[in-house]
Amino acid sequence: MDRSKRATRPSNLIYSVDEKPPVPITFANAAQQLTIVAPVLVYIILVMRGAGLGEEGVAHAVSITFAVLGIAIIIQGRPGRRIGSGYLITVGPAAAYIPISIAAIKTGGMPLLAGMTMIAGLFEIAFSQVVRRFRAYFPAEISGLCIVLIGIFIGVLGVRSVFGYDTATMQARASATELAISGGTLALMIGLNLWGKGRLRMLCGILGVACGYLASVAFGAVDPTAIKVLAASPWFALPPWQPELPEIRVDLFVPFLAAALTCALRGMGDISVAQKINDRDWIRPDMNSIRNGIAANGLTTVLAGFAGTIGANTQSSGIGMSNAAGVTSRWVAYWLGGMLIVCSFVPVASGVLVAMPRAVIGGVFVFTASFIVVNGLQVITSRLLDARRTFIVGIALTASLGHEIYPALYQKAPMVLQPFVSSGLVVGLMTALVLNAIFRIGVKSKAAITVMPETNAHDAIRGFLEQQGAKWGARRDVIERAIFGTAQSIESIVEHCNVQGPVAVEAGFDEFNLDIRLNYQGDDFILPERRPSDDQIRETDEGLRLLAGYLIQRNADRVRAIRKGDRTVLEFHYQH
Amino acid sequence: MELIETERDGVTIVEPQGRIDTVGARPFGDRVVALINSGSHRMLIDLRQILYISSAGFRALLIAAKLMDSANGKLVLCGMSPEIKRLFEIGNFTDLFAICGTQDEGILKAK
Repeated sequence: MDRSKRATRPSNLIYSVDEKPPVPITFANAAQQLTIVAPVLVYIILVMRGAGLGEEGVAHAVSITFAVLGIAIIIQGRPGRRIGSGYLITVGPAAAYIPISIAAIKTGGMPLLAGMTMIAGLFEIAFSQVVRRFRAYFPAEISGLCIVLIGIFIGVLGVRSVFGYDTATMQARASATELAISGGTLALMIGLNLWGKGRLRMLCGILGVACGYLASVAFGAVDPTAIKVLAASPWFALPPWQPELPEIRVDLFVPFLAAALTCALRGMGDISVAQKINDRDWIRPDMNSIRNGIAANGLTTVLAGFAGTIGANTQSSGIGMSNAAGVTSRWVAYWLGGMLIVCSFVPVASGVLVAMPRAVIGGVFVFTASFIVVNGLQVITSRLLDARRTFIVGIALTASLGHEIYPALYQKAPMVLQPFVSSGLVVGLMTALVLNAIFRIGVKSKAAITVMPETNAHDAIRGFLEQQGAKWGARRDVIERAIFGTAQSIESIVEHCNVQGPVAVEAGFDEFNLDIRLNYQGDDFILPERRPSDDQIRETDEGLRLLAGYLIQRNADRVRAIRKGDRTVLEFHYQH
Repeated sequence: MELIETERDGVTIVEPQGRIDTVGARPFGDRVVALINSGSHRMLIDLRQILYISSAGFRALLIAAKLMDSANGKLVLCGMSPEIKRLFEIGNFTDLFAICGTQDEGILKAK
């Protein structure tokens, strides 16, 4: 985390990231987050079954994964100087690694999976150290788009779970009972979140999950295979770990590194969401925290490879749940990590989590997705968007949704491209990044116009700065301040400074600074130290002139007037 | 500068449209002063259609406020956008005027 800038606590949070809730609340919220982590463990099951392992092998993989994830969440929650974003962000097996992990196991067994996963993790750590240099290629609207796509991805997963939709057969298998359980789980969580107070709101997630789970058991909506495995699970067992010498294959480098890159990019989006929900005044991603968070992600993947499981990345659903509950404290991460480590020693507990009914998972995912989608939309709409940026956001969103609706179109992609088309989220993000890199060509950081004294200064300046602001992807509020400062200045120059000829206006922009320069031939521009009195303003032209100068100074972050021969230059600086 | 004038519950509602800058401030200020002088001592100025106000506009409002005070009347402002409200704050004008969110609130305050 960037400790040089203290976050402003949003009003909807009961306990924010730096605050330590009482133990019962921390424990309950950690348990709530545990129910969010559990569903993504299905990826491990998919990989191990897809690679041909038996139920015992699958159970062993799940156990060891619990331990890895527990350690990962603790590392991610620590606000370290080089490792750990400092936020409560759940971590889970990454979908980007599913196809290539299955291929690795089938080709060279668990040693090959271990070796290639560790290589991917090391690459992600290396990428984290240079991610700041790519800041310009990841502007705020792409951060916002990434957040929206993450939310949609989770929401679509939720809908598929609710209806029991099988993408292979395109059939919905959910019974009326399961649909009712999904609806009831979702309704309960929403009701508690909207009308519940204090603890009821904080624990809306776990209460919804618990009631949904109980209803599923009561009405026979639990997977019978999962129940059999659960019934056969011991209460205590050491997580099985049989290390073998890792192997690597050069032909698997590209797909594994591509998966690592997509996980890093996903991590940037997740960490951005975590930053935003913990800071009311969030403007742009804090790259230090992102660097450290991606490094933690990479370390987790190295650890996962070492332990014999698949690569991992940050999970967005937990962030949405913590925002809904109003508890984003990192102490919840520490407790959650501890719980996961304990679960790795208690196969029955991990079995209960893995057996979570699909109907309940669906309700939870739809609930958390709504918060994430809206967060992303707020980020996108906080910036002015010109045609370039509109295309970037619009085409990327369309490409992403296209993948969700027509996944078969991407299934025949070569192995090396599989990580880049593994999900709608990745397709959308890669589309946005490529288009942004191309569309940056030709966008200049400076622009200028001249304004004649007899023209309508405000309309001319508004048109100029709005157009430029959209090209630059500038924040709306800063452009509005610049419009007022420039228009008021020109008005005052025309009225009080005996201007001769046009006023030259030049604007320069980078992501952190907006600078405006006015150049005219005429008298000095007065920038008073103090506000003129009300009587002075009402009764004298001097009072009006001083008021204009006073407003201009209070409006900008820095203003200065420089005399150069018979010309005056006004320089405005606005922090962006 | 276009001005829409209506009356409700004994309160004169003036709704300027566009900009209250050097050009617009004069007709706006002159009209408001004329209304006050002709007996409109309960007045609500609705600024929701205003997207820009400069020093000249603030001066017009100060003149109107002083005239209304001397007539023992009430002048209320309403409907400011966040940007216009910000300008009132940086100019230290928020303590000089009664400011409400909506016309309904403004009318209650102006009565």
